[in-house]
Amino acid sequence: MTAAPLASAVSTSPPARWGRRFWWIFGAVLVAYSAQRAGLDLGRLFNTRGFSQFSDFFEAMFRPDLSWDFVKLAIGEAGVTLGFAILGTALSVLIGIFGGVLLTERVWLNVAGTSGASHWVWRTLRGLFAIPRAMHEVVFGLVLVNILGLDPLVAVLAIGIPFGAVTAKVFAELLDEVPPDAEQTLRAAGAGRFSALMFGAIPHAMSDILSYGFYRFECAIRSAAVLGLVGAGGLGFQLALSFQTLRYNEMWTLLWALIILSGIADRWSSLVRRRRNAASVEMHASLSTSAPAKDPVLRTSAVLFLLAIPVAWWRLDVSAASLWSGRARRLSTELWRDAFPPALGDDGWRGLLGDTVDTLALAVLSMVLAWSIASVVAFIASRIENPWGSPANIVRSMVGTFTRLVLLIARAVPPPVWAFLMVFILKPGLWPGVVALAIYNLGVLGRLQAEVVENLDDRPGRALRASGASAFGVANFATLPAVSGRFTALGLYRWEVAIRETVTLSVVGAAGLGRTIRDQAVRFDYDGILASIVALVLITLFVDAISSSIRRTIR
Amino acid sequence: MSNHAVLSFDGVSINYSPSGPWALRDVSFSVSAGERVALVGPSGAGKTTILSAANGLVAPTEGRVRVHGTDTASLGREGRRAIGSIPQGNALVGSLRVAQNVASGRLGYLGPVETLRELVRPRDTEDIVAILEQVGIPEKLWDRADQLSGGQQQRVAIARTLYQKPDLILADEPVSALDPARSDAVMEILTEAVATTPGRALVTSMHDAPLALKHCDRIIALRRGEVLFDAPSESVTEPQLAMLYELES
Repeated sequence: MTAAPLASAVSTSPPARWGRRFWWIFGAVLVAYSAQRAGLDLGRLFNTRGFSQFSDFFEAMFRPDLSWDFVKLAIGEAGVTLGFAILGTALSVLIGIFGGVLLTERVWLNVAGTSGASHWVWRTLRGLFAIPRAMHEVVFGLVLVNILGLDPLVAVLAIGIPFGAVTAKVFAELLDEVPPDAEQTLRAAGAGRFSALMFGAIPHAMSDILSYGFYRFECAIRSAAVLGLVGAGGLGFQLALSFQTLRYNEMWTLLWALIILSGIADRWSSLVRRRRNAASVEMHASLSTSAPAKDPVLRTSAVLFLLAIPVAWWRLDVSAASLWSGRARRLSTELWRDAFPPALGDDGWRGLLGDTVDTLALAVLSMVLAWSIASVVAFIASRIENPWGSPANIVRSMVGTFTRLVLLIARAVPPPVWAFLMVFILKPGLWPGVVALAIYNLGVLGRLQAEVVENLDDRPGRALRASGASAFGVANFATLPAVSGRFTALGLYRWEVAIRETVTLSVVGAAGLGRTIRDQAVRFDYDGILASIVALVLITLFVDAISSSIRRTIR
Repeated sequence: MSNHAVLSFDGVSINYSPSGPWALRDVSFSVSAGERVALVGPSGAGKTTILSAANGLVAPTEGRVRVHGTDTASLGREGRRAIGSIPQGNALVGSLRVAQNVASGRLGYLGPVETLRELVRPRDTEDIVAILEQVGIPEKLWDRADQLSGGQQQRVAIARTLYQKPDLILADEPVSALDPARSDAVMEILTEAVATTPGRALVTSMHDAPLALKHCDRIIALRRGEVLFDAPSESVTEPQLAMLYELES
């Protein structure tokens, strides 16, 4: 300690943040490498001959097939998609609650609050749950269809298992956030660890658990559509059929049905969550402090959802019996024997590594595109207070509504459909996949980022404006610093999701591990598929680790 | 200079919605340079509305509000520089450092292009540290604002206003989140800022009657949007102020 006055002891420049600088450079190198890998020769990017097909498709947007027969079909198929989503979500919440209890750190501590050998059990369980989390629904669908055949259960399990693993992680983190007092009192009074958790912690976190469940439902609808495209039935399946025959008018009837369904689910989920950003719950689970203990909207929604489960079960004619039928058992044993041990393809390690790097590049480029555009669009798409207050407000809210509709279309149309379209106008390679995934994620991110803008504390900006700051000054020193951290965190979170989503583009042959898996599936090359899936899981876990490390640094 | 009105309210009535109740009703007063005025009254009495109107953030439904003789309705950026406001609760940008938050008080003096560069230049730090010393937290210069305690954040908000060099300081419940010792210290800083700078005035809302009597030289008591009394602190007693709150219940 020196005796110098403080004023001279304080540095005149801010301390450097090396962690931040490191990640900036890392990010720049990653993006540059990905772009180089995808090819930057813009002259050879476009396929001009496909533009007419492309514009035909969008013209059909306003002329969907409205013949009664087809509309009836679309409604019926929308019911199937909705049914998959409902049952898939129900299963994921069930897995989530049981898994969440198993994964919460508390259950593994003794009454005194210390951990011993059980700590390793907890670690191992967390690791095990990370594997299904790293696999996309389509991968599950691909595996399950080989065991169960064309059974509606395939779609339900394909949604329910990976979603359940994510939900379990989030629930466990929510439970870890509950103040431990009540639970400890019960444990000290002799209650068992599970019953103490049941009565001491779960009720406290229940409303957050349920509202997160509704966010999963919203995602499940989009997932059910994608699964349909790869053969599970519902709107996605019809979409694929109409596309194969290039009946764009039919496609748009189905797409509008999907857009309406998604729109309703999104709005419902927002209402239930009351402007609580579910994606941010997923990133750093924290209990809501503002939500009332008894929320009528949440309760009614939960009851409605519970009632919908048996209806969907009956309408889809699901039978859990097929799970333990002799045939399923025999097929799964055969599948395991064919797939294990995993084997490299003809191209060996080089091929697998190349595909893995392509997958990474695909996710990086699509997210950079989606995030940059979404960061601007979010301000236009956000809802404003008092939309009818003045002519300027009316214009602003009309533009906002239109933007939200565009974002809804971007995320309601499944990524493979965007990819199909991009194949018309872009030369084969990484770019059709990049653009397709970027459009889809722009829809998702635009909405999540708009929620951040809506929830922004406007007091700092008002204070600056009141002291005479220009609009530029307010934007630069109040608005941007307030949103940039959360925008970046959301972008990183979607990057983790995007790396899983690359596999959905396999149907159009976009490069990467997804295409390899599709090719291997056509050849019944099961040990090859297993090797590709392992690579996919590893790259996903790698991206998850980097992303959460960056998020910790920028917080 | 001393009898020049920094702020004047002239028959001001405000209602936030045409069918709603009056938030302010026929309020008239003026504040001269050097004055320290406390607005007291129960919640909903109209204290914050007066401060917002003085700031030009809320337009009067009837009457006129003037700062340095200029109607707040036609207050430009130049006029706004003269008004420093310390809003209720924390109005700092949490993800920025303390230095940047303090420096943002000068944004009113910068053109749009100038705001694009870094706000805190090395030669500004000396001034910023001097202001932070005034509020007692110079060592927090490079801390992130959201890592400070509530009391420290309040001091940064005051430092930002002092850095702005305004003629009129508007403070909305500046001590509501602080313990008694800190409240006293913060009020001391605000009254010092008026006493040491000629031409400056302070208007602050507060709930703490003894503190208002100690630090301000004039009390404007409000109830349901109307001025109940407007008197020098010497002539007001603590029981009188306490009664103001009891009337409501």
